[in-house]
Amino acid sequence: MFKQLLRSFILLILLFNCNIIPVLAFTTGKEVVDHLVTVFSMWNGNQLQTKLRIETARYIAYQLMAKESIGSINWEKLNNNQKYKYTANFEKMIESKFYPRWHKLFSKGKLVINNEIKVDDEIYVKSILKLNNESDEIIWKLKNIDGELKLISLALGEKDLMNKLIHLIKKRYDKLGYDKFIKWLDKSNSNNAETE
Amino acid sequence: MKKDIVQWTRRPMYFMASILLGILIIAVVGNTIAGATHMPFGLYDPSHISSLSKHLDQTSRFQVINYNNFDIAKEDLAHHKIVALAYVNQNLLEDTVEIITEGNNPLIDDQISMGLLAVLTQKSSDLSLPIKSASLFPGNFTLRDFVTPGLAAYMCYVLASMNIGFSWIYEWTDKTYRQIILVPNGLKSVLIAKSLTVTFEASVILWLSLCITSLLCGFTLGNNFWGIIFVTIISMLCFSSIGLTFACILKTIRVYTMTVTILGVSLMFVSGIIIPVEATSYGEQLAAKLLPMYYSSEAFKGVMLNVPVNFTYDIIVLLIWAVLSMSIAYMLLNKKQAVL
Repeated sequence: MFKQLLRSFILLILLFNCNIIPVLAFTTGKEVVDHLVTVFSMWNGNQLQTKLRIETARYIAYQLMAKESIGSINWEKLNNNQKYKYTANFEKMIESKFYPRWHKLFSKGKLVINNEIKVDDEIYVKSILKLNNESDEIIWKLKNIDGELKLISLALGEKDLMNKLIHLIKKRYDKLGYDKFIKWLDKSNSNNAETE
Repeated sequence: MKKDIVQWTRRPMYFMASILLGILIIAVVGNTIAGATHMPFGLYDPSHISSLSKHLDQTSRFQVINYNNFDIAKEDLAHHKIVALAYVNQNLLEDTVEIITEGNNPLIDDQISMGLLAVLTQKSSDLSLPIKSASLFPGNFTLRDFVTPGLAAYMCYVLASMNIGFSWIYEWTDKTYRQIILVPNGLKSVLIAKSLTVTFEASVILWLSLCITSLLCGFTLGNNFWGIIFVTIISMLCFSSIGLTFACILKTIRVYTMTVTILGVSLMFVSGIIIPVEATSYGEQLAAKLLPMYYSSEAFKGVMLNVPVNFTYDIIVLLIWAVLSMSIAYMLLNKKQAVL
């Protein structure tokens, strides 16, 4: 408990007062989840700060998620520049679509992390989000990428973040192709930013 | 003309009754069409993080009661303490709003749907729902504002036809016009004088009714003062001429009253005052676009709400109806004059 409070305190100072953010090396999935929840809770929920983006991007596997969202076959057809551009746009979409929601729920609720299970190179962290009278079980899916544990999806009951994203993106990408899809994503991100 | 105006000023009760009729139609019919307000509406939002309650309260359509227990909320719905219950669920991946109604009152269900759609799609930015609404020409007016111009057009019909019909048939049966119409150009003078007097009288009643009802019910009258005056006069002239033609054909007050009343109600329903013309069948749309009340209503909307309408076209159609009706009335009376 004390360790957790101390880490939150240090993180709060680092996030909002310093320009240098140290790389916190987490060895367990629980720690990564706890760190991400702390970051989202501490954000003020208004404008996305660069520090927050860097901190979350460090523990969310955006490139892998971007690849899964359009499928491996489509991904392999892209050159490095296109992959980079697509991943950046994909990240922006997640930020505008989910960050404010995650901030609201994590800051008002209480996440109780239960246990974690390792299956091959993936780690599943079970947790319960308690918010007033409601309790939701959340399963966080993490993967070890280049020696770091990163979030690749999260599931709430039968709903899964990655499946939701694939459903949103894949069909449209197949129909529009890379260039038109990027334009659509860009426009969609701008609209979301205006709404927020 | 002078005689008519003097007669009008000598009958204050008739004047008051006409204004009362105008107020009642604009206020009560307007209320009915604009829909229910302050409906007791239950909201169960266990997370307490959506601002739906605030947005629903802001619309006068709902009076929100917040529940912390879903079962109690459902019980209250079953006992008619609330007309509907919204269950807001916000989770990490999506938001859902489930609306539960008692289900025995389709009229209330429609009102709830309309009110909720407006709140959820336009005001509630903190809920991410897959429905959005947008407008090509966004206007800042309520349903009440929107129906009032149509009711003003209907009032033009009621006031003009009532005034011209009754006075014309009385004068004709009392033979007070006999001496006037038998002199050269007498008939033309009587027609012009009567139509203009009725147009003026009925217009004054409508303006007074609109001003009083606007204060009572709080709808938008707009800033286009001269536009409202112009449209009222043209509409009144058109309906006075039509009323005159009917008076010449129907001859007796009893038949005239019955016919004009039935026609008025039919015209109101067919001319897009209650249900938009675009939502009616092709036949009804055709009827609406052939008859003058639709154009009068459109012109009133243009001047009162400043919405894009084909103003010139509307006025031309109303004038064509006025000239045609007046010509028919003249021909009919010319025949009667010959008999006299």
